[in-house]
Amino acid sequence: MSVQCRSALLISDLHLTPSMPLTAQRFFDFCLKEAGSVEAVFIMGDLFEYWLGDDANASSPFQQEVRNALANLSSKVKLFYLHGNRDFLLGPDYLKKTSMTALADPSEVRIAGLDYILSHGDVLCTADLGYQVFRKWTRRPWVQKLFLQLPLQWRRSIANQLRRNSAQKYQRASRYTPASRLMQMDVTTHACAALVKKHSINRLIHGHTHMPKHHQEQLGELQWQRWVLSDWDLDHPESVTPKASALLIDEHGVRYLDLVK
Amino acid sequence: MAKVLLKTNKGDITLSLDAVKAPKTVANFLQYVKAGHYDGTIFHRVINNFMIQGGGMGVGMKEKSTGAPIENEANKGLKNERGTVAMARTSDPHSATAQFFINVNDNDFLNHTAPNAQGWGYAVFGKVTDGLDVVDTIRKVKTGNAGFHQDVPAEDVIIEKASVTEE
Repeated sequence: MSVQCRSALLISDLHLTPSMPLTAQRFFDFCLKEAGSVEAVFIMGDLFEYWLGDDANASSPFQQEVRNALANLSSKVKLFYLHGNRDFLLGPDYLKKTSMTALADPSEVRIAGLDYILSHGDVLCTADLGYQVFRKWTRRPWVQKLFLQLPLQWRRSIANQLRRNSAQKYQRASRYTPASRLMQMDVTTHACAALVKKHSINRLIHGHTHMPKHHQEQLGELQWQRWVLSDWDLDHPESVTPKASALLIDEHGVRYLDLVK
Repeated sequence: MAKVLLKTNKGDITLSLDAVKAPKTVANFLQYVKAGHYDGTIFHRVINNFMIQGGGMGVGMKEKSTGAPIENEANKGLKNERGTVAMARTSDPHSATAQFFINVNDNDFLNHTAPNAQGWGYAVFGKVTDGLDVVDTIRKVKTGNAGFHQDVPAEDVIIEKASVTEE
């Protein structure tokens, strides 16, 4: 196992975009404050609302501010990046500029003496077959290469279309079959069990589902603990209870650090 | 070398304490033993491959009151190796009172590296000289959540009696 640290903070699903300034500001504050108190920070996917390539909007003030915050943070702590389903195109160029180390999904890490499996989580949502097919296609290097060679305007319209389709799909599903929608949008016990078994590590951490919780789970003889990271949203207090948190792991254990302040 | 016998419902554990390398910690621990503080406490945080922690909670996860926190002697050379016993504490390096833990693995990351909050480490003050098999039995018990606490044994692991067997 290569990645080891004494203490860590893990975050995911911030969905940073200029249209959510309060959430972004909390992230900048997090980089300056909380993140400096640990040895390593793991960003576990969907830091950005979407990513069309390292060249897209690179010079916008917002992108510059995020880049500076990340570069600054990686000069103080070990900074790891695990790709999400929205920013899986974040490339080597960006990682280099911000001095972040990319982690495969899934990855094994050792924090405060204990082993964990880290995943963004979308790969565990195996009840959503349509998405898994989409995922397989979009993770093929040649598909990505082709996409990144398209003019930015084309990439943007493809991405918008994909997001519209997915929003419709999940709205439709929730209208007609709330139970199956919930199942589709969560990880499956079987997928978690398979991962736990393959790695022989019974502690799993992921994001993606926006359902932060600590679970103790079991399938047959197999037992494991699963922590789900929270998404962040401080910009829609009228419709969404403000939320932002990180998972803190050190020798005292694993706990959620509430960042809504 | 002072010795303390922990009679647990899983078997006996003998701790040999190093009063040379950790004089204040040993004196503090012996004081709690003699006062009967540990009698009836449980190992409330058990993590296989890491450590087993106890000495602060009674059955039912009731926290016992303690004396004043002590100075952290992690900087005096003892290492968190398998079978050693060290003081538990909060994130403040000098906050240990009664709770202790037994390392079931070589936990290098708990050793002293620097005199600051990040690197102070955990003060080892002795080691298990008899009953390491009992420790290994305890570290493998089934655990779950209890209130805000994780890794709590499903069935209580109780220190029935702690006594000084050698001064």
